[in-house]
Formats: sequence, C-alpha cells, structure tokens
Amino acid sequence: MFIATRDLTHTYMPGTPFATQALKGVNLTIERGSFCAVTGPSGSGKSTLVQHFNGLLRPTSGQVLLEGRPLGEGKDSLRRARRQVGLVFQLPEQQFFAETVFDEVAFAPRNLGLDPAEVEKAVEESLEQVGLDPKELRERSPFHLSAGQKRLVAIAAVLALKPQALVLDEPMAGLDPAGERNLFDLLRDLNRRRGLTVVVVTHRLEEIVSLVHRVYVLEEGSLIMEGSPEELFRRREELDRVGVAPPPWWELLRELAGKGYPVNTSALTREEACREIISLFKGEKR
Amino acid sequence: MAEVLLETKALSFAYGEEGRNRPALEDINLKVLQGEYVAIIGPSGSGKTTLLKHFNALLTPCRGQVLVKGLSTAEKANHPEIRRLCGMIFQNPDNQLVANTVEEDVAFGLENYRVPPAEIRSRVAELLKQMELEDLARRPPHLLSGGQKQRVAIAGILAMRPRCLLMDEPTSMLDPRGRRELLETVQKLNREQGITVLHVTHYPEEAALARRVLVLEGGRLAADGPPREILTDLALLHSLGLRGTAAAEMAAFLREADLPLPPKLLGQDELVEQICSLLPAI
Amino acid sequence: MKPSITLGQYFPGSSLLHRLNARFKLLLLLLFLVLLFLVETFAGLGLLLGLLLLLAALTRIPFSYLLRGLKPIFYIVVLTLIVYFFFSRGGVVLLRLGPVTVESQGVVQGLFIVGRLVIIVLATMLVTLTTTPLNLTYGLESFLKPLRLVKVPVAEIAVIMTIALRFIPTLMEESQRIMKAQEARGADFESGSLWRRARAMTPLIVPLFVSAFRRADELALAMEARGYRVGAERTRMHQDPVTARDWLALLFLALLFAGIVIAGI
Repeated sequence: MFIATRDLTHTYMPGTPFATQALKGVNLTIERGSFCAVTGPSGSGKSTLVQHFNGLLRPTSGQVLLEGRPLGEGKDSLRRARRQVGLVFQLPEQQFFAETVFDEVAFAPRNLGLDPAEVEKAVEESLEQVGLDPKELRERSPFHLSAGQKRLVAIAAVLALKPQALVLDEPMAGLDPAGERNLFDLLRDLNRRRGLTVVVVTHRLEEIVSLVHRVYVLEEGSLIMEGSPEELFRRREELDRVGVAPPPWWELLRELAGKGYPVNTSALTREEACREIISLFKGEKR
Repeated sequence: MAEVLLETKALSFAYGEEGRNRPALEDINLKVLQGEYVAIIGPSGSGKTTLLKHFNALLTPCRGQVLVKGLSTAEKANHPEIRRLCGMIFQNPDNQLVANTVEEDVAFGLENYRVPPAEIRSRVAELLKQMELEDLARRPPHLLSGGQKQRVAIAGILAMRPRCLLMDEPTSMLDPRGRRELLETVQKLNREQGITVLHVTHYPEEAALARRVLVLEGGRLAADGPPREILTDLALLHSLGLRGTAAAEMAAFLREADLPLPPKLLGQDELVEQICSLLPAI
Repeated sequence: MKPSITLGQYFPGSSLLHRLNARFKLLLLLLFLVLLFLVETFAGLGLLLGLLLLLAALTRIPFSYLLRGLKPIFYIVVLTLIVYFFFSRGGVVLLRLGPVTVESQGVVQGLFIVGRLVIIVLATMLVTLTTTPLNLTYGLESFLKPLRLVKVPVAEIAVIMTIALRFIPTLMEESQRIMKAQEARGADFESGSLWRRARAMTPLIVPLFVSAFRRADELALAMEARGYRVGAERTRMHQDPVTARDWLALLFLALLFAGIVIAGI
C-alpha cells in the first residue's frame, strides 16, 4: 500500500451557502509501482481527489494514508508528502514563470533547500528523464518552446522533486497526436523502467488504458467503480452512463464475441486485439 | 448545385509586421459550398486555425483573396456582414463568453448589430430553447460546465442567423459526454438547417463525421477529399504525425497479417462486417 | 474552490427596490445621501434609518446578510466611537477614569457620526444588492454620460466593467489553482520574512499575468468575431425602463427632502 484514502470527504467552502461536497466517503488504495487512472465526467471530483494525495487539500473528514501513515500527522508529514507525491496540474505549462528552462525546473529542488550542485544535478536528471537535452534547453525561455516540449519541461519541473509517485491531471490535454504519443511513451518509461507509481486523471481513458493496472471511476464525488480495465469494460452500461468510453478495439472484439466468435475480449492494446482476430482466422484455417 | 459560400484564391498569409515571418499559409485555393461539413486536420503549426480565422475576417490575406458569399474580406466595410455570416467557436470555452449571464451572452452579438431589444429577447428565448439552455438563462458563465459553455457560445452565434459555423478544436476541453452532445448538436444544425461547418480537429473520429476533409501541412493544402479517402490514407497521415480512424489503423494491421480486407475501411461497423464476411458464419 | 464574493453582490428578488430603474436608484441614493448630511438631529437620522429598514424589509434580504455587509466598517465604527468618546470635550462629564473623561458632547457626536456611517453603507448596499451587475453598469454609464462631452469613452468603460465582473470569479479560481500548483512544487507562500514572502509571489504573479493577458487576447478576438467594434452604438437586450414607479419614488423622496429642510430636523 502506498497511497490510500479512508472515508475521504471534502467540502468546498463549508458552512457557507456555497458549500459543495466534492468528495463523499472515498476509499481506495494505490499500490506502489502501479499505474492507475482516475476517470469520470467533469465535476465528478477527480482533481479534488488527487490534490489530497500530497496534502494540497486537507480532508473535511476521513483520512489520507501515505505508506500507511496518516498524512498530516507528525511534524514533517506534509512536507514529506509534497516530496513523495509529485503532482502535475492540468495544462502545467501555464504555471511557468522563470526566464530559463533551468530556473523553471530548479524551482522545486531550490524550494527543498538543496545546494547548487544538487540542484544542478536534479535539473539535469529530470530533463533527461523526460527525454530533453539539458545542454540544449537550459538557457532557453520556457515560454518559447513547442507545446509538446513545454509539457515535458513542466513534468520535469515536478520530477525534480524526485518523487516516488507522479500524479498527472489530464496530461494529454491540448497536445497533438505526436505529442500525445511521446508523452505516452514517457509515462510508460517512468512507470515500467524507473518504477514510479503513476496516477493519471483523465476523461479519455481509452488513450491510456493499455498502460493502466487499475481504474477508479468517480461520479458526483463518489467512487462508483474500481478494478482492472478488463473488469471495468465488462460493465459497459454503467460506464456508458458516466460517459467513459472503452477503446475502439475492445469494442470490436466485443462485437465479434457477440456474434459468437471465440475471441478473448480482454485485449488491452490494439496490437493484442489484432492478434486475437488473426488467431481467429488461423484457428479457422486449421 | 449548391452555391459557393467560402472561397480562397491563392491565399497567402504570414504573421508579423508586414508578413515578414515564415508564411503561415501559402497559396491556398479552396471552395466550400453552402451546407458542406468540412473537417480540417493537420499537425500543430500547419495553419489550421490561421485558415479558419480568414473566413470571418479576423485575419486578412497578405496575398490573394478570401470571399465569403462573394464578399471580399479585404474590404473593411464587409466585415460586419462576414462576421454575421460566419460565426466562430473557439477552443477554450472560458474565454469567449463576455457577459455575466447566459442569456446576456447569447444576446451579445445581436446587441452589437443593433437589433431592437424586443427582437433580441425573442431570438434569445428561441435559441435558449433550441440549445436546451432555458434553465441556465440567468446563470453566470463561471458556474457552467465546459460543455454548457460551448453550447452557450453556439447559441450566441446562431442568434445572428449565420450561414457558417467555424469551429477551432471545440471539443478538446470537454469530457466525453460534453463532446458527444456538442458533436450531435453541430451535425443536427448542418443536417436540418443547412449550416455550413468548418471543423478544425485532431481527432480522426471527429473528422470522420464530415463529408470532406482538408489536410494542411506547413501552410499548404496537402490533401482534400472525402473522409473515406483521406482518413484511411495512413501513409499520408503517418508521414504528418497524424492518425487514421481506429478502424482504418486496425484494418492496416490486419492486412499486414495477410487478412484480405478491402481497402478504405473507415468505420468500426464496416470493419466488423468485413471481418465477419471473411469468417465462416456461425 | 468557488470564492465567495457576497459583499454587495446582487440578491435576486422582486421588491419595490428591485424593480426601480437603476439610473433612478442611483439618483435616489445620491439625493438620500445629500439629505443625510442636511439632517442634524437624531430624530432625522431615526427617520432616515427607519425608511431604510422598511425598504430593506420589503426586499426580503435576510437581516443577517445585511449585517454581514456592515462587518467591514466595524473597526471604523469602533475607532470613531473611541476617538469621540475619549477625546472630545464639552457638555457634562459622564465618566471619569483617572485623567481621562468621557463627556456628553463627544458621546452625542460620536453616535451621530456612526449613525450616519451605518446609514451610508446600508443605503449603498441596498442599491447594489437589488440591482443586477449589468443594470448597475448601465445605470452608472448613463450617469456618466455627460462626461462624453469631454471625450471620456463612457460606453467602453461600461463594457470593461461588465467584463471585469464576468472574469473576477474566473481569475480568483485561477490564482488559487496556480498557487496550489506551485505549492506542489514546494513553494511556500506563508512563512518567512516579508521580503521573502514578497519574492515568493513571483511564481504566482507571473503565471497569473500571462494567463490574464492570454484571456484578454482571446476574449478580444471572440468579441471582434461577434461583431463588437469599439465606439460603435449597441442596443440592449434588457432595457431598464423608467416607469411611473420611478417618478413616484423620486417625488416621495423630494417631498421628504422638503419636509426635513422646512421642519429643520
């Protein structure tokens, strides 16, 4: 268990006529090293939920546990949480403020109080992690990069905290297909090769589903479904209701299965789905 | 034969003072007929938005001509009529709503055109009804969902009785439900009211809803044809960093494994049908 | 997440005050304030306060809501009372605390001034609470109209005010979002010396400005695309018609004015 919530409830502006309950008793557990997706329609509480993971928001009631310890208990608990769980906001490049890419990425390590040599090293490493060349970019203005590069710099700026978990809110939003693919590869690399726990908030689950171990579906502040993508996509009607679409290849297999062909409908990637269909033909030939 | 609504003649454009920068559009020749639904795709920076902005005179050509219902955008006197004819929906729903309530926002364009108040009220009421926004009439925009904001923006455009809707990635900030509702609305407007639609998108599934797809690359028109031709031409699309529809991509993969699928499969239904026709019936 | 700006924000309703024309309401407010400064007796103050409370009751705005609106002037009230009670001389000595005395004239003056202050705020609040932002803008616009003669772009100012009202909540949400995003990167906006804290604001201010400018840019484009032209005449969906009710209200206040002046209260 890495990140967990217990009866997590959050009310914005409690005690005023404008009070809105954004989370209602959410219980979930995220395992270390896993790749999770949080999905649901807009206004369902996705962003509110993940902002609890590093203590940016504090529960109105209930608890957030980090490595089994309640967040907020103990002196350095919150500081540690900010460091352990890196949170990349939606359109993170909109938070740029520095004159150079170096200063932008160095913001987090400097805030942690690292000495200049350590800052230098952290910046270099995190830029390399996202696949950017530190030498080429360090003196450039972050405002004048391409959309895809900006997104990567923004992610590097959070990775510079050296977090154990990376939480990204709609990371693909506003990127073109090339940028999307690039980011997809980066997230896979961070999770599979570097062992980071990755949590992605998205309303386009189908884009990322082939990487995901576990999906959490929120609706109006409640966790209404959770499970592996295969488990969830079997509950097609419920997903439809909250507007979560399964990937098209999965639909294709379902249709074939519906017509009585013996296909395994749990394929997660397009390649797997195609291989499944091909095996159908080979089976027939035999 | 339908009337030509939008036309460009050797349109070239560059940003910057006196267009000194690299051209954003180069030698575009294009005719869009009344009632067409045209998708525009292309990698980022290929000039999609720039092209769109020429059709309501937010930008005017450096060289060549843009005509909207025969009116040249080079003539400043034509701008009000051109902007009434061609309404624009922007990507960020937040930054196109001006007024403090939904109904006042829908009225904004009409107020600019000095429509008499009584008529504004009746047209606003009609549009709110049509777009199913009646219950939200007095709500401030910041309390609306993204999908609702885009519907308000469309209502504000439709109130001016336009002939054409220019949409710049209108769904990119919406959730699946908002996206589906918006696309249904736009298709209905095209089908039932004959409103011409130009739809910039980078989702192939959205482009497939059009009857014609334009592909831009580096400011030039790289391809122009029906979705079935363009969105299944994976060689072209991949070379530009774009994707075909999911069905087209899958069909290509299956063909490589020697499945004798016919070319140009665009939609999921067709793919399923073709696969089944190759398999013995059960 | 949604910040509350309740102070003076429009409170929907259909009372007499709600239905008055905005321009007239502003005119009435002006007249009322002039009257307030002509009144020199507690009887006069009481009369005006009574009138306000009657109008307030008609609006059906909860009394607690009005009280909350008075909160910001609480300290001014206390300060005024202290100054007048303890430092103003004259009249009978009411209380003696060592060298300090509280004398009757000071108490009377203090209470009178506080009474005036409360009435000013209450009256202004009643106008803003019963007028939609848009009508208030239009009302102010027509009030400022004479300034057009000296080339003040009154119509444009009105549009700017409308847009400001529209975007205040959006920008407040945005600043909170940026703040949280920078906190996620270890920023600390709360501790440290004043200088440190001021410097810590850069990562908040820069993105907020960049975003505000981008919004302004996009909004300007969207407005232009919808046929808005600076300086051009516009019509309005909701007129705020002047009715007999408005003239009667003005007449009533004028009579009250005359009565108070003649009676000398």
